[in-house]
Amino acid sequence: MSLLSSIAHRYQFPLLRIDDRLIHGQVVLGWAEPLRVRHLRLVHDEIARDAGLKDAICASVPSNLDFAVQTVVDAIPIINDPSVSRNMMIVVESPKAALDLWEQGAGLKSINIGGLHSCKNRIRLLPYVFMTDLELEQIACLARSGLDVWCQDLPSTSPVAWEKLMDKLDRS
Amino acid sequence: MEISNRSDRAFPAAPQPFGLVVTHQNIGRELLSAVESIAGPQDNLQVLSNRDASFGTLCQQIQSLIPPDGNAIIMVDYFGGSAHLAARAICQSADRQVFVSGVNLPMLLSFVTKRNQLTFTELIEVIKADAIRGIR
Repeated sequence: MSLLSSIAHRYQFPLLRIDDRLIHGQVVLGWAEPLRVRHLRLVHDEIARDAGLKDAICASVPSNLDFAVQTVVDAIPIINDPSVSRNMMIVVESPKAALDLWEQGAGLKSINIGGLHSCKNRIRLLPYVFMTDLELEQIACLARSGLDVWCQDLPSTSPVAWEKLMDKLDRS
Repeated sequence: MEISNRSDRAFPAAPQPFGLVVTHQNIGRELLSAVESIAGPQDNLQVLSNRDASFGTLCQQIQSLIPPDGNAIIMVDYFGGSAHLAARAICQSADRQVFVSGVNLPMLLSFVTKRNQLTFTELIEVIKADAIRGIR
């Protein structure tokens, strides 16, 4: 097994990433390339309806990736198609968007919290993860549903399991 | 009757184009430092890092730094990165604000030395050409 395929082997697909920077270098070069992702989706209702911004994001993604910006409703059928989802990474902006996907029937298995940056009412959990109380509850809801939730900004850094992060938060 | 020379006429000066450099980490700050060490202190040129900023926050920060009137060029470091995406989002609804990706020292030196000499449209093309010219 090559090094690259062994990296991909560590993760369950479809891989959902929560990242409030949306599609950027860390997603395309940091994750999609080493994991040999073939299908990348940004699921974002507002941007999917904004032709200008959608075109700009599409133009910035390498052409070897099958990429689209989709609404939650439009994305669910393709996420639930196993011939596609076994090689798919999905990016959403927030815990709420991840919860929306899950509650509307997307067949998710694991959730990577990759980047939620500091803003009003968010508390610091990790250098790259800040959340509000509501967002904490939304992620907790997904974890209680049996999804494997972990934090990791890049494949080369150590993952932090959600349960361990919450244990640490409870003790602090 | 006195006829003044053309050069003496008091034409209203066109406002200087504003420049905003948006980059990962401290690239912009260091680029500005290098530019000012070569071309002297600069007005109407600011830098912004994407550090610790979400897409939405970065859009707000860019919007707050750009003067509401006048021409502005947002120079970002990486096509496809978060700064590029935010700059694109800001510029799509503004006629006098444009973004250029791939900012480097030649691009920035070109911007500060030529922004008072060229039309805004010319300036955009010239700084892109000057940025590439230094790569051999």
